[in-house]
Order: sequence, then structure tokens, then C-alpha cells
Amino acid sequence: MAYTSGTMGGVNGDFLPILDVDLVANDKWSIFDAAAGINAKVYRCHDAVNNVDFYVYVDNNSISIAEIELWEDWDEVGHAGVGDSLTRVNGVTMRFEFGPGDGYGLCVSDHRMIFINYTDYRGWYVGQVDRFDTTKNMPIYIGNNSSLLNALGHHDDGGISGQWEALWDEDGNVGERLQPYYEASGDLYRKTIAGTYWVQELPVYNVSTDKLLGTLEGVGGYGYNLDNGLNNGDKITISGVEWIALGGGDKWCFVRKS
Amino acid sequence: MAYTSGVATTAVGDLLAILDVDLIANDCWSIYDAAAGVNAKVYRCLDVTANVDFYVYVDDNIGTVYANFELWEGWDAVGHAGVGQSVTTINASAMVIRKDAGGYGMCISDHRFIHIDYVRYVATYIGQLVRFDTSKNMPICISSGDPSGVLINPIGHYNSGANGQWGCLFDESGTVRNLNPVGFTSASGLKLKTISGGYWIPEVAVYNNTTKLIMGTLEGVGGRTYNQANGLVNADIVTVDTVEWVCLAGDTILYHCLVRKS
Repeated sequence: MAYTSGTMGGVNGDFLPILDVDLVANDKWSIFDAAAGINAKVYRCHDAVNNVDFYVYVDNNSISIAEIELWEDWDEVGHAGVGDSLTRVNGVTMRFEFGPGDGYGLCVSDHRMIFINYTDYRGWYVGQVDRFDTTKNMPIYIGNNSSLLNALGHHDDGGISGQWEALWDEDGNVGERLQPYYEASGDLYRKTIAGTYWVQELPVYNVSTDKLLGTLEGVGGYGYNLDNGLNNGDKITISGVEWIALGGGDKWCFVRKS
Repeated sequence: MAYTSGVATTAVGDLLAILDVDLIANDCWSIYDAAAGVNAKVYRCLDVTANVDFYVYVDDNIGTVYANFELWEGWDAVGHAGVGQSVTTINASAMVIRKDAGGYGMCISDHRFIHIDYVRYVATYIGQLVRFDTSKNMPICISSGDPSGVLINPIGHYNSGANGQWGCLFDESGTVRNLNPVGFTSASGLKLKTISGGYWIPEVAVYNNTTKLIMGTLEGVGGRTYNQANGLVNADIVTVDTVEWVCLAGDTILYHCLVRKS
């Protein structure tokens, strides 16, 4: 697990070198197709021992957007996706958003990455949850397709401001909607009497089956009206690891910097 | 930790007889005043090394489907009266342990006990949380004070009046406070069943109504939700790491929770 950060450069394609270095530094991630398109590449996450295999197409032919697609397989000769795919959620594209000079953070582990935009404090999650059944390969995408509140995707609202979907669910179905365990608002206080914070990694369930797929790896503490005195970008430390507070309006979450 | 069960009656003193055997079997619990009143006793929970000390007065002389209880800082076993700070009512109602004629369960650990009424599938929690600051002695109770009518309880739903009572004898600053479960207003339709056929049962975090700080988590109580879609009904058993948890849903079967049988 690793955390890196930096500043976006403001030219087309400048997100790709970040992935080429920081993402691929993890040996479960690789560049699978370096010429998938103009300023577009495909990265593979492969861990056969743990039943993880999926492809992430990243189209960064823009100074402010990296469009994301998840694929079952990829033809690196024809530069095209193969098999099942997740290219849209709720009818709109999946995309990381940023601007020239924006600070970013990238949390990379064997089976997922989280991209954080430190200008508007939004986050995107691509990859596996900590699965309750590790025999199943279930890459997911969480994000939003607008500048509305994110706080990591809040919940799937059926529209652009919350996108939660799986390339495959537990039965191999493509594009099943997901939701966080806490999808409604409430007084979800997080600060303890010891001055620490109580952060549970968030379970995610399949809307069709009502079953929990697993928990988000390093994302938790979703809340509303936290009343904890935290501001965007504030850090808390749990077991020696920093977590960063992301707030979109009145919605909050914490992301582990790893 | 222990779990006991049996058949209760509504007779006066019946609950005391259960506590005298099952509760006291744990070294941290004792009968402190066996003559606190007519069919009333006081039990002490003391664990000096863990900063735990409180007294529970139980009045089982009501002769119906419940007993009343109180939390006390100290107790005069000669004068048979409470001493110091106390919680005798929450939201202006006495706290009750429901004891319908029929099955009961007792989950007993060093610092808390949970009494389950298997007739109405409601429960009472008395004692410590799993505290975030174990230097602080913060006994709490969760009850539903209104013994009449439809019982929502499981467990205590939230601090909403006579039907939901959440209080502590001392909060983190030593003050009597009302408490609430974290997420009580959003605990709707929460999914607990996993794709592997297991259940994810987060133990409920509890916050101080006044300071909004989380004091700890309920020991062996989790999976609280409203309008759940997990197929669980009253008395269903879920096994987690070889330990059984029992589903309680009260009369209304709208509010669910799971209680660990230990």
C-alpha cells in the first residue's frame, strides 16, 4: 500500500505519467496498453492468487478529465476492450476531475486505487472492495460525474452526483448498482471521548440482492452533520496511519493515505 | 462472558432469583444489599483494575411483567439507600427490565449484562460500553420505560421518550447524561447479510447527547436497523466466529438488532 501526492500540470495526458509511476509501482498493477488512444492507456490489476483481474482504461486527452472504463479484458493490438465492461454509470461517463495546479493524492494498494482531488476534496475509488468472498472477482467504481458534492461518492443517487457500480457482482452480473451501508443522512458522529475518531471501513451492498459485497479498503467514517470540528483536508491518525477528511457540503468521509 | 437462559414468571422476586445465580456467577458482580426493600436488591459491579464501579438497584416487587431498576454511584447497605449520583428515571420514566412469563436470556460479562425477554423480544442493557477511554467509569443503561402497549425496544431503538431510554450514570466528565446510538436516524434498511452467507454485525457506537462524543460501543449488540431486508425474524440465530447472536425485533418487527449470547 502506498500514498503519493503532487500537483496536476494542466496539459492533456498529464495524469497518465502519474499512474505510470505511482500506480505501477505496485506489482499487481501494470501498463497493459500504452497506446490505447491519444493520451489514453490501459492498466491491468492482476493477482491470480486472490482472484483479481480487471483492466482500467484511462482517457486523459483533456486537461481536466480522466475518463475511466473497466473492462474484463483488453486487446492491446487492436486497442479495444474485450468482453464485459463498465463504461457508464447511471447513463453518464465515469471520470476523475481536476484542474491545472490542483493538488492530488493517490492511494494505491494491490487491488484498488483511490484518486483524491485536493481542490474540491472529492475522491474516486476503482478496484476491489475487501471482499466477503475472495473467490469472486468484483471490481467496482465509485465516484461522481459533476462538480457537485462527492465525499467519496456519497451514495448512488441514480444520477451524476453519485455513481456506485460493479463490473461484476457476486453472481457475475455486469453493471449492478451498489450502495453504501449508510446511504441515508443522520447524525453519524465520529469523534470519541479520547480525542480519537471512530472510523469503520464502509460496507457496500448490491442493490439487486441486498447482500454486502465487502468493505471499502481505506474509506470509512461516512457521516452527515459530523459536528467534529474537522475541515476539508484535516488529518486524523489511526494506528499510526493518517486518514484525510473529505467533505462535500455536509457529507463527510475519511480516506486512508495508503 | 456467559449466557444463561430459562423460563421466567411474573411473580415478585423471580428476577432477583435469576440475578442471584446467573449474574453473581461472574466475579465482578456481587449482591451488595440483599435487603434493599421488599423484593428489592442491589448488585455491585466492581473491577478496580478496569476502573469499573457502580450499583444496580432492582425493584422486583411490582408483580407484573416488569421490574424497575436504578443506577447508583454508591449504596448504603445499612440504611438501604442510594448514595451519590444516580439515574432513577430517563425522560421522566422509570427504567424497566421486562420479565414476561416465558423464556428469558442473560448475557453476562465482567462489566455489563443484557437481559432478554424472549416473549416480547425486547432487552435491557446495564453496565459499561466497550469504552474508548477505559480510565473513565461510565456505566450506562438502555431500556424502554413504558411497559404498556406495543413494544418497539430492540435494543432501546433510540432515546426518544418512554419507549427509548439511553442514559449514563457518568459521562466522560462525570455527569449524568442522555445518550444515543450513532446513526439512529439513518439506520433504515441497513443490509447485514453478505455474499458469503454470513452477517456483518457492527457493534453499535454510543454518543453523549450533549457533547456529541462517542463514548464506546455496545458490548455484544449490533446490527441495529429499521425495515431490514435480511430475512431475519425474532429469535433467529446468526453465528459469527462460532458465537451465536440472537435476533430481536420486538412486537413491531420493524426494528431489529442482534445480541451476542455471551
